[in-house]
Amino acid sequence: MDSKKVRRTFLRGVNGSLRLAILSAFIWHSAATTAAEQAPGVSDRQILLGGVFALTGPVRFISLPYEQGVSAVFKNTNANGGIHGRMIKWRIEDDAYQPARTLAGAKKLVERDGTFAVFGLIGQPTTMAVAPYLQKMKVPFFTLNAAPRPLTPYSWGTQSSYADLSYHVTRHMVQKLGLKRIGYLYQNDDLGAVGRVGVDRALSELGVKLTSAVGYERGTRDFTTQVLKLRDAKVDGVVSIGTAGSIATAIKQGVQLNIRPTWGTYGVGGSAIVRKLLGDNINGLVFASDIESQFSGSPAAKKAFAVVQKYYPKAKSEFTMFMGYAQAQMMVHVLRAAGKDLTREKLVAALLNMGTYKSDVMPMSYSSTKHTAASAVKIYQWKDGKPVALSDWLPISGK
Amino acid sequence: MIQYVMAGLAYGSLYALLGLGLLLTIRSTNVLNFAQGELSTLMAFICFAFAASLGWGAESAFVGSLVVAVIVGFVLYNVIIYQIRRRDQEQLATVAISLKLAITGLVALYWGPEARIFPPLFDVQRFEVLGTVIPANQLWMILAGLVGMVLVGTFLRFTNLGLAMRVAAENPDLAQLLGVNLRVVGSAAWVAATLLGTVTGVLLASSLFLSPYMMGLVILKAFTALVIGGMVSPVGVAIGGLMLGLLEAFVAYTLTPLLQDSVGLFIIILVLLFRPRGLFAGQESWRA
Repeated sequence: MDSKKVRRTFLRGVNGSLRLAILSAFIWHSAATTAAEQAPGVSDRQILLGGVFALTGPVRFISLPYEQGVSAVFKNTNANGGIHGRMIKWRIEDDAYQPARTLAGAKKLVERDGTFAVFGLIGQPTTMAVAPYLQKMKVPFFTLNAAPRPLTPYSWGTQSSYADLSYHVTRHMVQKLGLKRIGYLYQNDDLGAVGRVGVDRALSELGVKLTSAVGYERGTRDFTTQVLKLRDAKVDGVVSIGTAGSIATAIKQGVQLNIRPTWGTYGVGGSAIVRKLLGDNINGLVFASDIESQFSGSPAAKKAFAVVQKYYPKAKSEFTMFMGYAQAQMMVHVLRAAGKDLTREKLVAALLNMGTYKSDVMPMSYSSTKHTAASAVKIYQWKDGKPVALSDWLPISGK
Repeated sequence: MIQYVMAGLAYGSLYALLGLGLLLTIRSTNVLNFAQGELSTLMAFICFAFAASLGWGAESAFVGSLVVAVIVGFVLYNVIIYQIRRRDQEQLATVAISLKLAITGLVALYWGPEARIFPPLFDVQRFEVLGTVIPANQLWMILAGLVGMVLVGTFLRFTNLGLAMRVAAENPDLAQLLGVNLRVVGSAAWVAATLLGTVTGVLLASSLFLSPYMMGLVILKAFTALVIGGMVSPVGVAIGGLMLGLLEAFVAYTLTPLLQDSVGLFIIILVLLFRPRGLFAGQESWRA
């Protein structure tokens, strides 16, 4: 046979074999992929979750502890075999607490990265920015805040509403602490309005009238006149739903004027930042928290912090850390309950049927009519630099 | 009622001090210094750093921050403002706004965005006068305001540099012909404004908490004081600041604290509509 002909024949053969090999490999890969990837973000070895929250900017001091709390639970779960053999991978996009960026981040996670669910949204405006998109894409999402309205199978929240928290703290201050003249210091926006709902409900049930409501505009730094107005109304207790800075400043300036009602607020009253700002002036502050206080020294609090410190030795305890920890524990629980053959539909079914779940630090429940996990609050009061529980877990509706 | 008045006078004094700083820079260098509030914040943080990080006593930290204020004011004017003035006067407002954003960003980046406790400057927290509790901070604010106003007035009226500043404000060309060094005048104005801002920032941080965003509405009210003074009269600015503080307290006492922050904005609108040259128009301008 002619050598050129031999070479041509040989090369044709090789090319043909090569093409056959490539085709076989492609067919095998497709089959393997189809078998392994049951849903977007789910493979035999991994579940990909995506979060969008501030990695930079002024609210980072809230989101960093949250991130550490969540991440520690996921790492711990992975270290113990994962979920049905799958490791959780948590990818985060930075929104710097800007709603436009939250939406961009969510789109990236869903459309480019193919995440199974969006786990980790912080803030009311940022959550509201992505809710319609994620609902349209039928991607379950989990926010630290209360679940946005209207409820859908895809929207799931964590913290109770400010109305529930203000309700319980007001009720406790009147019923248990015997305070008769309650004032309400409020930020003149939705936050203050929602808090007022709870205060009014509690006082109405107890047959007590609100003595004074004193407002301030968002961005106010000085509270001297507000505190004086409350003093003029002769209040003995003040409920305030606002930022950590505003509550701390109002209390501090009250002390400067020797005006010392009993102050009541929500979980931020148990935060590290408020404790740092007020020092000894924090004693007496009452707060309603839907999560175990990180300063309470309870076995649950110690255990949770120990888990976080295992992965983040320099982590500083903060109430958002415990929120993230609880939320992540809940997520691991429902992912397990959804079964090995994991799909978004099965996750949603697991959430709707979750019922009550007690994470180490927070009682939680979900149902078809309740999409905000927090199911109870505890009342604490600072005494000698430590928050002391004044009640057991008190149920809330938390729809 | 007395406590409302004291609060009004205290904050009015801060508005007056900041307003005087704005007046000095605009009259001497034609720059409406939008960064005046942020400079105050920066100097408060520097005072904090001296006390918290270097362990200086409160008084030493405060004096140290005044020394740094002289340097900062001098450098800011000569390195940035003066150079841009020479090339393109119209860009000065943009520069001032850029400085405002840059300083806030740098302070937040270096020290972090969260609020913190400012080291106490005074041992005594409050005084009781005829049964009325007055926070010590407020008394110091009023005292600082009085001293600041007297010093600025004395400086402008009785010193050669003050006189030079007044001449340069009225007619820069004439001033130069008379041998006034405009660069020296400008440097002095910015140094003085930064010093006034330092006092304001430190006193405010003592009363509230130290934070990169603490000046917020306060500087807006200093602008109100400036407008009341017609951007011309130091006496007008000082009285404007005090008047605004007292009006805010009056509104809070008689109506609601919710409206007190709006008072300044209403005044600006009214003054610009009906007395755009300020409430003290007719006085010889730039007269202390």
